[in-house]
Amino acid sequence: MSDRPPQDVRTLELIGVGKSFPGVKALDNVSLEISSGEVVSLVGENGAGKSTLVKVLAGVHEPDEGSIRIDGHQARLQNPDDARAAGISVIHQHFSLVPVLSVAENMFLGRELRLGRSGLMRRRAMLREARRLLGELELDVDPATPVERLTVGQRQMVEVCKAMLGRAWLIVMDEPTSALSTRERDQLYALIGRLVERGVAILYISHKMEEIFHLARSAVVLRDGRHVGDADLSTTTEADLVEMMVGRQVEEVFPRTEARSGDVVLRVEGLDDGGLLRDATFSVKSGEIVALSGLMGSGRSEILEGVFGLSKLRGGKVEVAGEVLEAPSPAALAARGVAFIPEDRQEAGIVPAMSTQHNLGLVWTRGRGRAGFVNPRAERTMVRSLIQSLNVRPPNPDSAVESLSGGNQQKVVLGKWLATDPRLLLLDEPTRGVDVGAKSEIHKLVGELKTRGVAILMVSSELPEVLGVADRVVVMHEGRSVAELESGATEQEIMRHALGSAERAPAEHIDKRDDAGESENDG
Amino acid sequence: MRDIRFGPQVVRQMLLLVTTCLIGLAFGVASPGFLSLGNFLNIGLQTAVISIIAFAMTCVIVAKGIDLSVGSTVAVAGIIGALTLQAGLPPLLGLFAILLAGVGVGALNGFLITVIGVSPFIATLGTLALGRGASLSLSGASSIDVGQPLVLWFGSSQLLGVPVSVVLSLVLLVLFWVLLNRTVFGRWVFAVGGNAEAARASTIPVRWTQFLTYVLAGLAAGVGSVITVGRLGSAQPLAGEGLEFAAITAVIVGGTKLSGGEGSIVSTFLGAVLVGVITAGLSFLGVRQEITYIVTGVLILLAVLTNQVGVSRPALWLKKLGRVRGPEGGAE
Repeated sequence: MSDRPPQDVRTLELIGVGKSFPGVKALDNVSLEISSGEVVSLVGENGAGKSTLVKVLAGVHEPDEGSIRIDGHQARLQNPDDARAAGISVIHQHFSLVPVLSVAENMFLGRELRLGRSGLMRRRAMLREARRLLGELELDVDPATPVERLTVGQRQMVEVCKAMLGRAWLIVMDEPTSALSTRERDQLYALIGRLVERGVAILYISHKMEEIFHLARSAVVLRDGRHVGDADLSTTTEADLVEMMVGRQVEEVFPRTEARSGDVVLRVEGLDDGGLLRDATFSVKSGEIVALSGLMGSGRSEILEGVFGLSKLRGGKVEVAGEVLEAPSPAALAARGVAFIPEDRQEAGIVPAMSTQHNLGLVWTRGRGRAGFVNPRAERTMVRSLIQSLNVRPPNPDSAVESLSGGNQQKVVLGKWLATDPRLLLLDEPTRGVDVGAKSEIHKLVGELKTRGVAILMVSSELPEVLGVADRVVVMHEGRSVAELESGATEQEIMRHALGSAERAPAEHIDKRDDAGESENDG
Repeated sequence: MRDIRFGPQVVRQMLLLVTTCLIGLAFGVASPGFLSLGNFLNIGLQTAVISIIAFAMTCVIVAKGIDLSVGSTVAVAGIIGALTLQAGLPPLLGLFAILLAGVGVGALNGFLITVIGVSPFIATLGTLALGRGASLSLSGASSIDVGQPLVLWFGSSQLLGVPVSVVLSLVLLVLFWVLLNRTVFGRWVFAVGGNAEAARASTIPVRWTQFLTYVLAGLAAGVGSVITVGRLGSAQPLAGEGLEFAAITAVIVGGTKLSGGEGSIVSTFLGAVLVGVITAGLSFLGVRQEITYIVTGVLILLAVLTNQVGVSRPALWLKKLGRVRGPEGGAE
């Protein structure tokens, strides 16, 4: 039922597509064309607009400019059902499979084969059909196995089969290999090959240069939501492609404050959390901003979480102001003047139902009242001065934090820690999803802290931000700190280290151990 | 935009107050004896234990938990206290034994939930059955008489014509209000229930806070047990049956959300009074027990519905409907 003769060539065209959100132009004049039997790669830095483009194709966002044409006819993808009906399927990094159901049941989810018009399922027919399709795609998975018993790679293949069963002719794969072992990756390559033979088109999103060059014939390059150009991968070199991805003139001016750096406040050595983070070594001085740069999943955020004791470290040493901490815990770190501003405001920053005042007082109130009581007057005074210096709008301490804009929420999260006069600030993506005005206010604030002698360790995916504010940049690649660059570094240099294509270049902390992490890179 | 002068809690409290008065008046019209001082004191007496336990339950629920074991804790704490008194311990120690037994059950709940990681519903469902079983087997399934005046005082005496238990519940109303609104711990309870991740990142001891809310619930059940024993003059193995239902009803009617992070002690108190007035009024009119259950059930549903009615709700429901319609949500 999923067979479509290969000669039936189908085409999807995006013509000058644009999409705006309040405060950001996420996509601007993007065009691309993809036909049956092609693999096209979509590349760009984090935040370049790739996910927005995928959501446009999946029918989650409808573009406000430009048009979409399928097989030459104007088409509208207003919701996920439209996209599915048009034969477009997106394989996400997070799977949409139900773990307790079997492979076959998952493949037929929502389009079960029934006995006539009754609600009874034709279980055996579905199993047979699933087995046939798995066999055709040469996948070694038993359709009766519950999905929860499969490996990540097998689940991905089940997702692909599910898409095929739904008569998809265009499959979008969003960083499909990020969680795969080398063997599973090769199996995925083989599967992609078989899909292409059957006339399926693949839009392949990846950060990994060797994959892109191995699989795709051409690449569509996005940068800051704009369509920079298309690269013919048979004539383009890796370096050229990176250049296209990052070669932007730094437009946003970051207020750079000079400060005399002093003593080392934080020193980490060989940090290892047994997961994404494998080996990180660097230090931060007072009055200095150090940025951790690297691709998503390179272990940047894990460093901050490990240092602050939010995740258990398996190895390595954390030293705050000369004192080695055996088992870092948030309370112990806070007691030593360390503040942590997490990446996800909604998830780990604010308590939405609480007022601005109570959010700002979350850390401050501890140990500041008498006998466990909050001193409401002192809290009010502290909150008022914070609201003023942070310029929180509306400046009402009693308004619920959930009603504030993203930028103002972020100011509240920052303020919660500033109230405690920290000497080391751990910032995870401080300006993500924040509008331009609030962004520069936050940077001004960070700059002020720096002049006051606070040591700042920042994770940011935005290279201009990293280059604009950081005194030093520590570049992460696959869980290791692979390079330390001074403030004059270029985006290309950072990206080269982050993509792992600079392994021959002299870098300070390269670990030469040969293990899985390294072997993933020789393709 | 909400009215700036009156927060949603204040609006709710006024609504509860007005509803309670209207219903009270209606019962008064139906049977004039209802609106007498004596009957009010009677309602207060019946509501005292429920509201004391509902205060602690509010803390538990605000911290995103639930405690189903409070009813059987009242029984087991009373039995343990009565046994220590039977063994010849001085009355004051017997009193402490009752409270300590309550704290013990609360600590067991807290341990199961925050250390072992059992879900609150299941853990306290377990201790609910355990407590009932323990009180039946410890007492030999029969009541144990208690005669010590000190122990009985809380449940049977009056201060200036007002039952001690009613005075106690009002004192605890103030204490719990202060605890939730004026102490650092109270702030933690709201933060933990509102967003545990953010609380953790703000160095708040999340599990310790949750643990303490269950200990508080156990302690409140102990206090409730003291009053119950005093009122009956004996410890009953089947005391406190359905108390968890009554207490949770009061909390829900008071507008505290089971999803945590929001709630108010004053609203819970008003919720308990409303439930108390309705229950007393129905029994005053000689209405059968099954009708009372039905009315309480309707009241809970009404309370939850009024809690959800807001400007953004209809839009949210529509959104949810839309999400359900798109099968397997390939885009989410």
